[in-house]
Amino acid sequence: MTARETRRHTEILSELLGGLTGRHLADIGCGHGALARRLAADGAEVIGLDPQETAVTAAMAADVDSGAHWAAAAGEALPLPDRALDDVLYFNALHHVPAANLDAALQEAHRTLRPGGRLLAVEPIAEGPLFELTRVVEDETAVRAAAEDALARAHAGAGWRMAARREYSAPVKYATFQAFRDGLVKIDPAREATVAAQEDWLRARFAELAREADGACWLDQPTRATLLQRL
Amino acid sequence: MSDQTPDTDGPHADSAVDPKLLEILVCPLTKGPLDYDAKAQELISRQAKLAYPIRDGIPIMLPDEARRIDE
Repeated sequence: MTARETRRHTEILSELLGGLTGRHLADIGCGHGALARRLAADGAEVIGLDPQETAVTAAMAADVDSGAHWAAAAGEALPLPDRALDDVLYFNALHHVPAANLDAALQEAHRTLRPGGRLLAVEPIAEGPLFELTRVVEDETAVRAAAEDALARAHAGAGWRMAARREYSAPVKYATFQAFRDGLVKIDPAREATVAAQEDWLRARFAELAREADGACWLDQPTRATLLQRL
Repeated sequence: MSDQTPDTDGPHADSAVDPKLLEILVCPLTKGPLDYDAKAQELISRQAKLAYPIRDGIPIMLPDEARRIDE
């Protein structure tokens, strides 16, 4: 396997998407909304959607005046009209869609995009130090493969054209082990018991794997970005 | 959970729903129009016979969280 270039997510996103001013964009699985806020601040007309109401509540609370809009909704049943969007973004989110609903979610992306609109799926590859740490809490190997398979089925079909694909290694920054631990639970509060049970191992392995630089701890996440154009 | 008692004094100012959202949202099941019930803080899909709650200004567009309308 060829070594993957270390790149920041934000660089890859702006490289693949270009300027977003005035574009109508849905960030599906927006979590606590950091990316949606950034894209809205950059001039996009953004709606942030997440099926976890607690995440949307946090996203809205953190949003001072980005101009983004927020609602609780699932990718497989989008509350948006046909052809309403220029871009649909799944950022580290597609593999959280239940496997049985992945095809429906991509069909919904297709339905809500205008012809020529773009779907960008940024997905973690099931490799690397961050993956090694998180798999003891929740092994995402199967769900990440299922998301990748669903994307492959989509672009093999008649509705999409593959516009670009990039693999890179994204450095993920954590202030401390505690911040890493908090992040694991923030994604899914149901993980708390497992994280607590594995805490000693996680702490020790985190110390071995994390690179220290600029006063923070960094873990690499091999990542694949797939940009599909809706035909 | 999804069956909150409507505030008879109307929605609180700090939980007002984003008007732009009301323009763009459709029923996630039927993709049909939604009627905004400001007093009950619900978005009603007559086709799906479902009322989607708005909690703290956030439209909850999840069919499992919606109230069935039997009328």
